Amino acid sequence: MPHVVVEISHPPFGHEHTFAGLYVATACLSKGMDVIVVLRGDGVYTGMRGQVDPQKNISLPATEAQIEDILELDGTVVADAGALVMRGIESDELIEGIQVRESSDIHALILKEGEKIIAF
Amino acid sequence: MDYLCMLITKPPHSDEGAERMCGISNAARDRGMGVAVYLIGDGVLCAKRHQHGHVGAHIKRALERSMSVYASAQDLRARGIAETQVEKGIVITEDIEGRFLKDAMERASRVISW
Amino acid sequence: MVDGTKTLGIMLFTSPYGSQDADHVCRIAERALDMGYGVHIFLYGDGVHAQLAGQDPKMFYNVGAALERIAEKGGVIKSCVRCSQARGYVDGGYDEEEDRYRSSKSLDAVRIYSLYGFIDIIKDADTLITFGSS
Repeated sequence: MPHVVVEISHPPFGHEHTFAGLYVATACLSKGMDVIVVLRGDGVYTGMRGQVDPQKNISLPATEAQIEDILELDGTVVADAGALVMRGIESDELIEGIQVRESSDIHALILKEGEKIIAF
Repeated sequence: MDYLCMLITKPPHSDEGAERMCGISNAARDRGMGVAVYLIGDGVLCAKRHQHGHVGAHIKRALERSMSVYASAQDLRARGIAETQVEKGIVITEDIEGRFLKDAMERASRVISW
Repeated sequence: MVDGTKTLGIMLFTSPYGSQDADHVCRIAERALDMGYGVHIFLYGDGVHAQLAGQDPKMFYNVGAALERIAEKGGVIKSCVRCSQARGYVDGGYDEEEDRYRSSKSLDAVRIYSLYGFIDIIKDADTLITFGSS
């Protein structure tokens, strides 16, 4: 089974990239693949916790629940430290279980683990 | 040797794709990997010489660090960029798809497309 | 010609004509088939619009015609059922015999399929490239 990296570069909801990418990550995990979700650039907004029923409020899937599912299925979720700082997001504002890493570590992780790299 | 093959469709200054190319290709070179960058569509704009900014500097440095950079001849022509306006060392090719595929399918251990 | 057992997987996430992405997908897929590689394409998100039958661009590369050529040359093209349903392409249930969801609006060359069609590509393709990340 290939190791898969799913890169999320968009915030949730404004475009479909985020939830579409997270669906792919979940489906890969359900088939037994190892998956790392990388939140980079505006994608780090996807790591923020505390969403209030997006389905009810704006008729879109709850990406926070998707991230929690991915973590529950033993997927890894990492967020770019520099992108978080730039956006004023503290680590205690993130969904529990997300790992904060420096860009250089994330590049190394992608090169080491990304047998298949899917950018959203 | 491990080999990274990147296919870039993003222009150098208005999108993060080209910036990301710089970070990850440098990281690959630091790890001793071979690196080839293929520029297609708006990605060929990264090949323009005399750029001031991160991507232009990276392309120059990439060539110095023995990374291979290829650009689509058709995409350059369509955008009015002549060979003389392209950074020295970049290979302009009429068959970017064929070159990319040969590299990506037969040689690369990692393939990234942005 | 190269070893024909190797397969290239491609995901398209953007609609045709709005960007060059679909053109790149088709040109690379056709070149790969001509070189002897297998090709599996998955249309996802707005990428499913590439399956619309009857595309007739006057000054653009015809993506619909290119997908038909790719299928004729042996390329396999699937599109996401959930994305297709949202955009009005699905007008029937799953056809077991054809192994696809029914659609009168889509090219015959494209099979509307569950997301697991893409997961199989991720798993099995020797190389995967994606278009439309931003």
